[in-house]
Formats: sequence, C-alpha cells, structure tokens
Amino acid sequence: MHLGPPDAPISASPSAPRVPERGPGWTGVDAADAVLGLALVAIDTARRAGSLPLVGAPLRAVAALPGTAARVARRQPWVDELLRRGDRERREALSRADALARRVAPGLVDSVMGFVDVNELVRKHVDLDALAAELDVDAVVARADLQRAIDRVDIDGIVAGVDLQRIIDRIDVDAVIARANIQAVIDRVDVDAVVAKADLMKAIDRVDIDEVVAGVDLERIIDRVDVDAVVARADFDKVIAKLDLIELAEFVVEGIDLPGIIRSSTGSMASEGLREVRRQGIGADERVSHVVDRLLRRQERAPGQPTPRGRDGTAAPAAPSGSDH
Amino acid sequence: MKQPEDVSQNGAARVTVPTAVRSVQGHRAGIVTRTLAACVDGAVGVAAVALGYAGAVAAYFVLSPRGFSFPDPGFGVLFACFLGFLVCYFTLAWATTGRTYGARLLGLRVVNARGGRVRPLIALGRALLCVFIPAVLFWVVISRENRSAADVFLRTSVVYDWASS
Repeated sequence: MHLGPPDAPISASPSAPRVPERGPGWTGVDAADAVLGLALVAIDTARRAGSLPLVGAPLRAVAALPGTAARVARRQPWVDELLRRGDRERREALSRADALARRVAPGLVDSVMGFVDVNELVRKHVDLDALAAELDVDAVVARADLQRAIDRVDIDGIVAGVDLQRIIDRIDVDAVIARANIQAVIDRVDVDAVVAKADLMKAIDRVDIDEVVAGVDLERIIDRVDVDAVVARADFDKVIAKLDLIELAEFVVEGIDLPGIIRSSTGSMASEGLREVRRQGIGADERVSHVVDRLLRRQERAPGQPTPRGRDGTAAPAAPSGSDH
Repeated sequence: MKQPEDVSQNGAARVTVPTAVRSVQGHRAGIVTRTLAACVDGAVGVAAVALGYAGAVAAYFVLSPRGFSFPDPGFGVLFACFLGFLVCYFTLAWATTGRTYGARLLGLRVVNARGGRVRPLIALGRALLCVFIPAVLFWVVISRENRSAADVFLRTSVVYDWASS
C-alpha cells in the first residue's frame, strides 16, 4: 500500500476509479457521488424554500415538529428505560469492537508494515535534524539514572570479549609516550611509599644474580674506578688494627720456610771469605772456559743446566734434588 | 728425609745468594771450582786416613802398651785405605745430599739428568771412576757443557748451588 501526499490528486492514486475511455459507465463510487449531489441539492432547495415569505413559516413549523416531539417524549418514563437499554447496548458494542480491534490490529499492522518501508518514509518526510536540534539532551541525561544503567551492564563480560592484544597492537605507544609528560607523572608518584610497600626481598629472590653479573662488563667498571682515590680514602691503620699480625707472620714464615733459609744462610754465608772463594772460583771457571774455547776456535760454551725431563723424554718441571742435610 | 726443591727453583733460599752469581745458579760448574772441591775432598780423605791411623795407633797402644811401637802399614795399605774411604765417602755423599764436603765449601752439587738426586748405584759408579781414574775430571775443560767423562757416561752433572749449601 502506498500512502501518497495528502494534496495529491485523486487520479494519481493507483486505487482511484478510472473513467473508461469508451464512454461513461456506472460504478459504485459514481452512484455514491450522485446520491451525495442529490442530497446537497435537496438541502439547498429546502434552505431556499425556508427563506420564502409564504412558504417559509409553515416549513419551519413542520421542521420544528420533530424537536418538539422529542422534548415531549423525553419527559416520558419509558423513554428513560429506552435510553438505559440503548446505552448498555452501545457500551457492549464498543467493548466487543475493542476486543475485535485488539485481535485484528497486530496482524493488520504487520501486514500493513510489510507493504510500507518505514525507514524510507521517515527519511523522506521527517526532518530528523530539526527534531534532534530541538531535543534537550541535557535534560534527557539529567533524568536518566546512569548509575542504574551502569549497574546493569556486565563489564566483565564486555572486557572478556574484547581483543585487547589487537587493540594494543594498533596503538602507537611511542607517539603516546612522546605526548605524555612523564616527568609530571613521576613527580606525582610517591616513590618512598611505593618502595615501602614493595617486598624487595621477594623480588631479589626472583632475580638470577649470576645471570645479571654475567652480563655486566666488570672490566669496564673497574676501568672507571679511581683505585688511587679509593686507596687514599682507606684507613689502613684501622685495617692493620683488625689484623692478627702474629698469626699472619707465622703463616708467612711457614710458607717461606724461614728456618730453612736461616739454616742455609748461616751454613753458606758464615764466612765472607768462603763466599769470595766461591765467587773467584766461578770467575776462574769462566775464564778457563773462555780461553779453551778460543784455543779450540769454537763458539763460547754455554754450560746451561740439566734439563729436567719426564719419563717419556719430554721436558718436565724440575724434580727435587737430594737432601741438604 | 727432607726433599729440598731444585737449585734454580728454590726461590726462598735464593734470597741468600748474592745477586751477582744468582744467574749461574743451577748451571754446570767449570774445571777450577770442581778441581778445588776435589782437592778439598782429597784433603778430607787424607785427614780421614790420618785419623784412622791415629785411631788404630791409639787402639794398639791401649791393647799392648808395653810392646807399643808406631805401626808401619806401608804406603800401599794407607793409599788403599785412602781410595777406599773416598769411594765410600763419595758414594754416600752423592746418593744422599749430592754434595761432599769440598762441594759444600765451593757451593756445588751432583745431580742426575733431571736435576734430581743421584741413585746409589750411579753414585757408586761415579765414585769408582772419579777415585781410580781422576783424569776423567779434566774432560770438563774440553766439554762444551762442562761435563766430565764420568758425567757423560753416567748422565750426571755438577752444578753451582749456593742456596742450599
């Protein structure tokens, strides 16, 4: 069904009766129009007749008869009974019509809406912009119980359905950080309070110290340390005071075999004259060797020392020699 | 028995050695030093024989004071005792400390090819060679490695060792 504009000509409606081109013919509508035209002509004629001087008075008297009769009849008791019955019938008829309309209307409306493109209709005939401009959104929002609406929303369900990773991938974090005033954020953070609440020991337990140290360039750090300055600041007196020098001395003496040194030095160095004889002997050895090598016209000898060798003939560390006792 | 370290490696003992001769410690000794040491050892042998003779005379006097007269064993017996004493003395000294008294005075030590102590059998062979053919010592003059003929045969060496003497 198409609802055309109200001022559209009747002939434009597809359901309007068409006049056959072969000549005039009677249709139902034509008959109704003819009856209506006759009624209007009759009324007009009666009005004109009522205005005539001689004929008007009797006609008006006759026309007034039904009203007079009605007023007289209204005063009769049986008329009241008649009115009550008519009123009851009318109310029942209205009730039935209402029930009938309630049954028929949904199906009828669905049928009608099937023929009508309501969206197109609204878009074509309703100025939505004008309506929206007149809408007091503030008042609507003020009346709305937003808290209740929020309470009815399942935020967990919404968040669970959101692909956050995809959203994060689409965010340009560098640009966000570039626009953020990090310093201002840091200034607002109470670092002491954060550290006080943090379980540092637990955090440290989770850290692989060995791996951290392995990644540290200790050589570079040591190069940056001013060892001289560190030593200059050290209080060696305090360090020495903490040392057990006697125990340290005993440890050193045990390590260098001091008794052995003293014993050997007293044995070998007791006589300065003997040491001089040894020195002269070594000098004489070298001179004799030099002379003999020159006489034999060969390169000067290099006596060297016995080469310690392992069992397989390869060079090995020096083995212990005989006892010195 | 205590085992001292190698002559050149004994760092603690080396501090007692004068700096000037520290560089030759452990090197093979030359003919002069070794001859001097041999002379000292010979003197030790003579002294030992003399002491032995004196002991024998004392014992003889104690046993027979009336018929006492200085015995005359003859040069041959004394010389044999002298050589026998030297063989025993050298063998014992080289197999234990590596040094005789003469070597100790001159700061020498007899070592094997590894720089260690000489085995008793080697020490005995070396003692026999040195006592009965003392001329083997003079091969040191010719040898480019300051080794005597006994050293060459028995793969031994005589080195400077002031540190442990």
